[in-house]
Amino acid sequence: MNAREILKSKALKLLSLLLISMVIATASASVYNYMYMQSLQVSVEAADVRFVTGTDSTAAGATIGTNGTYVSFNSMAGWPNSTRVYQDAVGIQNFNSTSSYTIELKFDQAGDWSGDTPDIDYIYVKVFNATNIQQGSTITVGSASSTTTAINLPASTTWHVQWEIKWKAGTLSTKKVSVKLTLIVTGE
Amino acid sequence: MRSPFLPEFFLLLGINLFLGTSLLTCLLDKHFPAAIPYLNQIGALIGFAQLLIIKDSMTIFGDTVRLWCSLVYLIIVLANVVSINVYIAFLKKMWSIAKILFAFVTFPTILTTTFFVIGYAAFLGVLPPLPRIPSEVLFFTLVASSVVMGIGVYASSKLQTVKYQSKKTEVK
Repeated sequence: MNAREILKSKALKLLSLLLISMVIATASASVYNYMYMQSLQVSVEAADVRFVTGTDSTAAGATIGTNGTYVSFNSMAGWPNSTRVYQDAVGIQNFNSTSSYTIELKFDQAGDWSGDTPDIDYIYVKVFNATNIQQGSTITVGSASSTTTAINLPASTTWHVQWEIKWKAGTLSTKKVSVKLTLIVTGE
Repeated sequence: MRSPFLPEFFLLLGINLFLGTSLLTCLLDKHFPAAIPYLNQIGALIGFAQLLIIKDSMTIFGDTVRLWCSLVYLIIVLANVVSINVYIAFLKKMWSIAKILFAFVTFPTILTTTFFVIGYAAFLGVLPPLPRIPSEVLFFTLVASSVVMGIGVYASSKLQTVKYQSKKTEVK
């Protein structure tokens, strides 16, 4: 076999291998792509950070919503000219045993409270850890974008939310306000 | 949080490495047994078959099984790449080709594979996350790399010139 024939056979061998390689590479890439697209389905999973009942939840009339993703208080009441405190109105628990999450409790906008708001002296909401040290800042209800700021809730930890309510002196017991706060959990 | 890629990515990487090795051994066919390129192609085909099996039974295999299957395949591929380098270096005693193979094939392959494996392990929380380089620094990284490379090229060319001149003087 002369040099030309050797080169020719080598080129043929390389060409055939190249063709097979291209076919295998393309086919495997398309299978992978198909699998990737298939795994893009929207699934359901439990939220890691959920509301749980606290020691004052019953007094505050707390109802933990389905899946622990929301909570409503039906019997919270404040006193006129005196501060009423619900120390542990509700808990915020991180059910993940390994990951911590950044949370932020927020009074988002002025429209998030309604009713006899002019009669309210103040409503403060604070978040405390298990050793009663306040986490983040105090939320002043009625002040738009008032927030605890972003705080890190460690894994398998429960913090409690404290409400401080004071009506103005002489406010009638018929007065009421509704308040909505938003809990933002980052990284879930 | 969603994974940046599926565990089968390692399988795909392994298949492509097998194919690349096959073509490389075909190009260097003087130094390898004739069957080696085809054996590598068969290796790639086995990987492709494994990919097809996993695709059709994704619900049967858990994430852990899928990950280990892909990782074991990738380890076999890496062992193949290293063994080719070792074969050329120690059995054929072709040190210069072995060095070139190590610099351009074996080392980059191991480096790239390690990067992806560490990235995935960091995502799983087994290892701490890889540091994130701010995008503002990337331009400076490019400039710094170019400067260092330029200095390297200048130094080596200077060394070459000195060597050439000293040889010339010896001849005289």
